[in-house]
Amino acid sequence: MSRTPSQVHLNAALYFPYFDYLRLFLACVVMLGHDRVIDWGPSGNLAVQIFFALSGWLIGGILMNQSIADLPRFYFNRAIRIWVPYLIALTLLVAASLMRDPIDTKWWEFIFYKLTFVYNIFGPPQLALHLKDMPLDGSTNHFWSVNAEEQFYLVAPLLLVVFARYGGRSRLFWSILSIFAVLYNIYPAIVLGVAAAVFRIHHPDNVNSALCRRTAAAIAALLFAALLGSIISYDITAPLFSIALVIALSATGDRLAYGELISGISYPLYLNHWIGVFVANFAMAPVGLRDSPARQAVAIVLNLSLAAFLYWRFERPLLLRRDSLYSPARATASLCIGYGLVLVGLIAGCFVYKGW
Amino acid sequence: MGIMRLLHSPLAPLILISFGFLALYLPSYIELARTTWQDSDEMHGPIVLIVAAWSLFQLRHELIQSHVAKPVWWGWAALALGLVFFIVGKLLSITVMHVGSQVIVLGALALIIGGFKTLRLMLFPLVFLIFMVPLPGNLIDSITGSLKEVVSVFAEQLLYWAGYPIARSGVTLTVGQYQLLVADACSGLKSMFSLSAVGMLYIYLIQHKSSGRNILLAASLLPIAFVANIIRVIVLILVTYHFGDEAGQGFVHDFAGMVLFILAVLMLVSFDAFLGLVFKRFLK
Repeated sequence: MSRTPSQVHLNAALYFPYFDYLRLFLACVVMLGHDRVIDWGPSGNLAVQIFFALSGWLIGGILMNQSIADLPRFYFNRAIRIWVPYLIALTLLVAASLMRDPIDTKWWEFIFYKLTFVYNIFGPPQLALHLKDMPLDGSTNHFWSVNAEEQFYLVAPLLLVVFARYGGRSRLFWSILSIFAVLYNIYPAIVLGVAAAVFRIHHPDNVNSALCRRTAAAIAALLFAALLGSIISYDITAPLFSIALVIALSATGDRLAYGELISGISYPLYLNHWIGVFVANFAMAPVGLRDSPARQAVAIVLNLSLAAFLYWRFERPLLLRRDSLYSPARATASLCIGYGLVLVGLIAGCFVYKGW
Repeated sequence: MGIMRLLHSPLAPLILISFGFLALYLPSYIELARTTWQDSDEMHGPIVLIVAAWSLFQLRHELIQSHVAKPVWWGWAALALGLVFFIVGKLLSITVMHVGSQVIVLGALALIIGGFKTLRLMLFPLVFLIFMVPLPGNLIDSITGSLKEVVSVFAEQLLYWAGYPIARSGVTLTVGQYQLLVADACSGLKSMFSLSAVGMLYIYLIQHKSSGRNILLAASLLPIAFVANIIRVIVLILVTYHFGDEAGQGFVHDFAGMVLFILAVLMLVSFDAFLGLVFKRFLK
């Protein structure tokens, strides 16, 4: 069986086929939530929380098996997988915004945050005051989650690999970290995802068992009902539900039908789903269909088509060539660029941002 | 590292599921404690909950052993149904729905984790939890009226046979110079519900091996509660007739409720003893 791009970047020994479908489902929930097809307020954020838990689980699992010498390769893989689609999306955003928005210092500020992967820290707090100053009126505010994930890719290796000897891989450490993350709402879904991965590595028979998945599925159902009934704090329930769902779907096996395409288009769909809405609005508003279900349907078709095109045309070839593109120098460069961008973004943001 | 060891023990799935269950139902219990359980007729609610939780805890070792390799798909269907009941009940503030859903949800979880064997193991706490569900208002209204009528008829007939000067018009009884109204509370409906709960607990604790004896005991619960309530009403009529209106409506009126409870339990125990003799002599 030939290895497909996503299989290469995952741990080849463990493949989770249901995650392919989960990713596309989550990207669709975000798209439909933003276009008000799904009218349940927390739907988009909940989908992002599940994305976070998924990342924590997968990346945590990968890093638990790596040494410091493997890290440049890890960063290189992340760069190819995350940066390229992100830069394409950012380019499309800037191009569309240049045609439509007035360019002022605030506009540059938001583009800068997105370029340096720190928008999640400095962008969303300014939504209320500066929505109109943001590129395309904040239509790509959802980039915050990609920025948060990028920061996770920089911090997680430090904890799980560099400080592995000093408790970075211990269950106790990740359990305590999980409690703090949930209580103080500091990206709890990611932390819970890593904690679950740490437990999986330490106790593969328990966490990989069918009973564990069944238990997790039942807990996910209970917590989802709690979320729908708005019974207990969303901030606590959502990450717990997310990790329960991820564990429930963590059965290993071979890739299922259309898994590669389905998984592949989820990321560009997540990034670029504003484009279909803009195009459909532009085309259908003059005939009075701007707020119609027909416009929403056209936007969905456009978004899925664009995502499939971007994946097949740009990302897939790159992922297939990732091994041949790799060199230690490029890997080190991607590592330095990753840390450098976030560091510059953080320092500049601290000076520019006035909302502390 | 005690928590770590617990998480790796076979108990872990049960503990985690319990947390999920509590996340869903704890707010409902808090709501009940602030509202429904304040009512003297619903004070059995927390006791039912504690007893059900205690009996589940007692079953923990059997529950651990009863994991099934393949899931029972009925369990997932039941879980979906229970959660729909819960959400609709919660969103529309229908207490009977969201509190009642816990029986379905708990049964579904038993099926999912351990299959029908676990469901059978958990039968008592599941059935017992039904007594925690507050009766819906319209059901109470529809039963109370006819139950009051029946209680009045029995009380009138029995006292008439005993030679007391008693007459009845609907649910109003005239005895001597006094006129007494059989009120809603005197219908005994809620006490029937409470007594049935106590009776079920008795049957569970006694644990007779004969299922026939258990079934007969369970079947006797409602008649016993009914008879006990008629005795209570008769006692109150007699107190009023012999000692005056104030005596009948004062402390004795409230005290009679407690007497009713004790009386019903005594009747149940006596009936059980009688069944014991019958089963020993004839059904060896």
